[in-house]
Amino acid sequence: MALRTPYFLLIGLLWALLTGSASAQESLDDLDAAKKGDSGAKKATAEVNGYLDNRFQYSYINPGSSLLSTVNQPSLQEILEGNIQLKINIGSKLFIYSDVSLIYQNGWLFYDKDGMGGRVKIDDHDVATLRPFVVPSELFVSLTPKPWLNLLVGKKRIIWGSGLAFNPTDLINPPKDPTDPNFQRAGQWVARIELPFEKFTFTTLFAPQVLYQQNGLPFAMLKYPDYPLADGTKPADDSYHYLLAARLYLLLFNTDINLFYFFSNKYNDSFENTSRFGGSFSRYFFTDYELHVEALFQVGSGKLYPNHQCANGGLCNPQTALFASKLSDGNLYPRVLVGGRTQFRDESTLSVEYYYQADGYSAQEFEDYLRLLSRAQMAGISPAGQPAGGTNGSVPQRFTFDPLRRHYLIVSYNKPKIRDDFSVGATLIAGLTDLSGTLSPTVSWNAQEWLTLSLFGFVPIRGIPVGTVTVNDVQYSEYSLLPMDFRFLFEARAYY
Amino acid sequence: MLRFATTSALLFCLSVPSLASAADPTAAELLKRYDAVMSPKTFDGLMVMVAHRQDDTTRTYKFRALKSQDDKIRTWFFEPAAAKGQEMLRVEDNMWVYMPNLKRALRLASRESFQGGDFNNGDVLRVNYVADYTVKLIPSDDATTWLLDLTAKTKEAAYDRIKLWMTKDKQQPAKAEYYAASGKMLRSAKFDDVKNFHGLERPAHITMKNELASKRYTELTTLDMKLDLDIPAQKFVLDDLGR
Repeated sequence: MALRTPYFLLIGLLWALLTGSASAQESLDDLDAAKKGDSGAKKATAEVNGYLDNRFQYSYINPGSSLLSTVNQPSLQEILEGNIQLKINIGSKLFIYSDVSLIYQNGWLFYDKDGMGGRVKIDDHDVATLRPFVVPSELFVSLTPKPWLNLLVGKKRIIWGSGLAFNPTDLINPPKDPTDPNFQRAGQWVARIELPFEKFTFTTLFAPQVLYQQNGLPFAMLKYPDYPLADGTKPADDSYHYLLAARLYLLLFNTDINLFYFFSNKYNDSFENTSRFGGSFSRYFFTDYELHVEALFQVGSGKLYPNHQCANGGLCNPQTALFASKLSDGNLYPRVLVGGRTQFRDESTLSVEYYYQADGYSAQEFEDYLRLLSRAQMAGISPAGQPAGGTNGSVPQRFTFDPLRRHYLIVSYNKPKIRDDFSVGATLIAGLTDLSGTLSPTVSWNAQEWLTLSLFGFVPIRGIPVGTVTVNDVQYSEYSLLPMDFRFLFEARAYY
Repeated sequence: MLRFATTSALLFCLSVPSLASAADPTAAELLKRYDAVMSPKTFDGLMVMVAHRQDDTTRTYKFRALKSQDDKIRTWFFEPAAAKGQEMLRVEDNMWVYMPNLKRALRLASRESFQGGDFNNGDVLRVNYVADYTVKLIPSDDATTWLLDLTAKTKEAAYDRIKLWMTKDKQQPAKAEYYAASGKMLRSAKFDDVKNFHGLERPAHITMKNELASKRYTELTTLDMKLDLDIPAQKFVLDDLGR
């Protein structure tokens, strides 16, 4: 229960930044003088802002409801984040930007199965993903030598697609949490060349994969080192892990149109020297209704599929029974998201998105997957590559949308000013195959201009019997795999 | 009812000669004047918006607005801290907001609320009444003003109908009423504190009242405004947001 990192260090650091960053501009000359000296010569200036965020959550862990292990899932979790966004302008063409979070976190109150269908408390223990760490969500240098040329090197979140809750064409960044846009900050290490013009922009980038990192800071990129790590971890392979991407953006007929080309080699999946294509579209229709489409087209799938023989009792190692079996099967597997958004007269907003992935699990594959989990659970091991939420060097997420099946509906509603400073909202993610999903209601209070207090709920909807899969006499749906009955999270965020 | 109709007809007849006077500007000229005053051909402005809410508290936003020669507008928000880093862009009928928390830009509709205040996006980012409205002069209840009746002619116009009062002496906007298609008044505005910004006289202070919520109103104050600028076109492209 002891705190590993003293709170006062984070608070002290942020207070120092807060008190040092206040500035007032009452005229345009004040603003411009900040970028030029009295003589008009180039001068480096810094802009600082950020926030201090505290999240405390309680989850009702239900080991009996899931085939996933709960031994490392705390019921109580505390996350304290100090965020610093620093922009250093060096003249008008060059700037350095960092968006860095210092995160203290810890978890308590763990449960496991008691062998009789119930749960039993187990001792608090060390969990690697609950240790304090540093997250450089963004850290890059941007140079604009000509108005039509921008060069960027560093870590940056680059979103090109038009999807709101989810971007099927986003092969670059860590996955995001559709239930909370504030958690979608972290980017990827890239070198980017961008040519912006009035009606179109051409972008190309190179992204080496981060292979090893410590506390959010990478120490191996692109290729595994030739030697094992100090903990004995051996290099997985001697390949180069990277992504090359090109994108053409067009503003045509009041429509945002993006065309994408990706070429990757073992970048976050098993595809080797593979091309993928994509596109997106976004436009307002009938004044108030935004419509968007985003699609990725790939031949073969990098998704991990269960070994049917292994799942059904054949001799095998359950730890390696999930593998990319459709990687080179020659089939086209599109992933398409279609959605819309509107704001009503009362300023509430509604967005509805439908997502289809052709390489999602069929009913048989999903059943095999569950049987495999069951076998692994009985053997006391975890299948390698098991789809699950994680940190990926980003800010800890409440939920990672990593869909297993083929059809999904994501609905998000937000109503501001219930009373002046109160907003309510809810996000529903529904798997349409088995009608399971998650519901995430939110109440938010902007207590001060600089302070927001929020209460989040997170409730798995286990679905109706139609479409569920029965394994060992227990009915499962996709979202019944989440090893909890509900979760509450209280967040206090102070901006500076 | 008969008395009202007779009075109205009489007032109309009395007002017609003044409307038709050769020295007086036409409705189209006055509307063009409004655009020139409220949205000069190019400008770089520093503005403060104070939203007064139902519970008597306020929220203050400070932002910079830049307008290109071809009628594009971009804004940068400095205050409050929660909105710092947000940017907005309008190109023709398209609007986007860049959200630093999301690290991306989202499309916006013209009629959506501007930062939750009582202005909508079109009020601030799309002041081109000549392009968006047909106009006619109607009798004014104030002898010192002309009254313009504006009807939306494009679907991107922020309102379906506007009644706009312009002062006769300096041809400055004095007040306005904004209506929905149903005829319901949504908002009303008062323009005052006319100041000279680098040669352009214009109201430095606008108060926009929300007619649907009794105590809500928003003040928009122009602190500074520079004119006749040469701004690179790339400042007004989507991919420049966040830079």
